[in-house]
Amino acid sequence: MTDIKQKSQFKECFNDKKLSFESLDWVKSVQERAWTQFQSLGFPTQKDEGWKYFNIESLLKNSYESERNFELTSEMTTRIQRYFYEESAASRLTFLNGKKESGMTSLKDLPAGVEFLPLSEALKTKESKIKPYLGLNIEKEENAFSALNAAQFEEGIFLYVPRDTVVDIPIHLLFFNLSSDSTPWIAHPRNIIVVDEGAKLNLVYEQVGLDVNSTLINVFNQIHCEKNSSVHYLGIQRESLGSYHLMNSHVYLQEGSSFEGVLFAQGGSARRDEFQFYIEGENTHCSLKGLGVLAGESKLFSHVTVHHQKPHGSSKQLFKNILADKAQSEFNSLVHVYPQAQKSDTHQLNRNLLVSDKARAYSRPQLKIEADDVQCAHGSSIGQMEEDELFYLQSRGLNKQLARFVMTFGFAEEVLEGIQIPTLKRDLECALRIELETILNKHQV
Amino acid sequence: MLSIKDLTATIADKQILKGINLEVKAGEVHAIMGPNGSGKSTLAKVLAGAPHIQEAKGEVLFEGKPLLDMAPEDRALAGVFMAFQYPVEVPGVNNASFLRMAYNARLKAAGKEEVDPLEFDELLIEKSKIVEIPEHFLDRAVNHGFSGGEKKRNEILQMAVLDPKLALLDETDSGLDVDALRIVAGGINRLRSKDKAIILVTHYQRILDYIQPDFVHILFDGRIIKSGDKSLALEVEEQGFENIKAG
Ligand SMILES: Nc1ncnc2c1ncn2[C@@H]1O[C@H](COP(=O)(O)OP(=O)(O)OP(=O)(O)O)[C@@H](O)[C@H]1O
Ligand SMILES: [Mg+2]
Repeated sequence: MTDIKQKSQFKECFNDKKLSFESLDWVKSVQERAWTQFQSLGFPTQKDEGWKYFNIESLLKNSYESERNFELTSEMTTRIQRYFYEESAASRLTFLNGKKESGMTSLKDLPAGVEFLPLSEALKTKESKIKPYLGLNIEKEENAFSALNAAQFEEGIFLYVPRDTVVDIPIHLLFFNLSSDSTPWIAHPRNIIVVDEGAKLNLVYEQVGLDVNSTLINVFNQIHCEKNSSVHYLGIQRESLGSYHLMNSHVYLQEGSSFEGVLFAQGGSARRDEFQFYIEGENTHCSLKGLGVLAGESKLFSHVTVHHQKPHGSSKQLFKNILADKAQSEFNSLVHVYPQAQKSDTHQLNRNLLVSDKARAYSRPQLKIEADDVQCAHGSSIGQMEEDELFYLQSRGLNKQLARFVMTFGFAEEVLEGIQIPTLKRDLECALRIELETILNKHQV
Repeated sequence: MLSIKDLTATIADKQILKGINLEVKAGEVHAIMGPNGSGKSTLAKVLAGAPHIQEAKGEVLFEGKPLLDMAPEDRALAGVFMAFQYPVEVPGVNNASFLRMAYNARLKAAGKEEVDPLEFDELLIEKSKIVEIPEHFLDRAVNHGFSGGEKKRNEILQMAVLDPKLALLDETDSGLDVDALRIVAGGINRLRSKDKAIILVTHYQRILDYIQPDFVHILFDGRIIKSGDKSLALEVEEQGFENIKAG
């Protein structure tokens, strides 16, 4: 007799139907539809355009468990608390391994009418509010992991900002990935965010992995920017090695609304971040900036699609990566301007700074334009530090090491400068500084 | 202060400087003129330590120290400053913070205490008045999106802040409007003193009306073919380089 469990490969979940909310009928029926969609899509392979550089095979053949042993020690609590910011002291929701941690959550400062709660609770108590959004467009979903998430999510959040309500303090949503042993773990967090007409939201979404390996986190975000609303979104990713991260975000923009996003990624093994923007009203604005600081064998795959379906929409993408060692990045972006979307104004820019010879960057900004009166700019660059810039700084007395640091930091700063929350901005700049110093020290020239 | 003997330099397997000899004493202003491509910028860059120079040979002593053996930053810290003919844009690096870092590097090398951003701001604002640079330029990225003339002024601002012993000014007067020329020349003249020296590369006699040189040298195909006083600049203007070469 042996107690070694036969672990099944993750890809076998394809043959093993499992829905997470069997007990709630209306949720179950959404999940049934999602499962059907997942079955018709099947897992992607490396032959698919969107998964060309991602080592999907190794992700699929690993095995993961959905339960995890974890004990919150006081030492761990202290480490976790380092990620708290004073600006969000009373507007923070913390999850540890996918479960809300009440002791680290405080929502006292939220204006009246704002709903911010775990999704599992919201499905039970806010059915009428969530119903229009859960499983929206699931039959059109093209990403198998998004469909799988819809069928198997267990937790996440529901955030609702009512009409004309301004939430000017940043709301901090913190997901920690922690482990007391090396149990491989899987989670499918699902987040639904609705910002109603004329409302304003400032959201920080942060995922942190502390000393963990072998995890697969498959997130799905759905963000609805209703008429004339405005959303500031900051996505922060700090992962330890050995983790796979998939994040799919769908952003719907109605007339006059705006979405400004900044993404910061550091560490982790492989992260695929996909954004779909659906411009469904006139005069919208969306902007997405991303910064990846990648060392070791870290990989960051950024996929963005902007569907310009209405006139007078502007969209802007700026993705920058600093790559050391054998790191890899991909920028795969499509701006699709539909025939009726006249006067669209679009920008796509991807810049990659290679600090080592073995690092790789793949860049594909693409355009599909079906309207005639539009402005579309796109560009990309992949290269090492410019020698003449370096010399210019040195010729003023900066030593080579400092000159390289200043240039690299300056390269990254363009992405971070838009962050509105002072404590957080300082904190990220500090993290960036430490990371760059390590990287540049290692790759002396 | 600066002594150059038999200096040769090669770029991309081509010999550009073919044996330069030049003595510059403290307090002097030397003007260097010469046709396009004769090696004027190359000379300035060799002295500043530019990386694309394949090989520079000969003896160059700056205050007795062999300059060619020093890293570019050490030359700067020792007091050499080159104003670039084409100042480099460094996107993402803030002009004011960059200048503060350079200034502090200077102080540190001299064994002095570094200044904090507030103290430095005062100094910077005072210096930017000399070259009449509006304050908002200080908050922009180094030379990024600056017009040609603005870049040149920014070079002189850097010079005013760093207060070098030896200034190599490579066509700092090119591309300036009449007012800017007067302002920039004023900035350069402020640096003139008995313990400092200036080497001024120019194509035009006009700046020499503002900054009277002690010597004028003609650089032709990598060699100094003639040296003289200020009147040589006028001769160039009237006769052109070919005639001077033909003698
Ligand atoms: N990086 C380089 N690669 C190849 N050739 C170079 C390089 N830099 C300079 N040269 C060559 O060296 C020669 C001298 O150039 P330099 O810039 O010193 O001339 P200059 O006298 O300053 O001219 P100008 O008056 O036009 O500024 C030119 O023939 C130029 O093409
Ligand atoms: Mg020149």
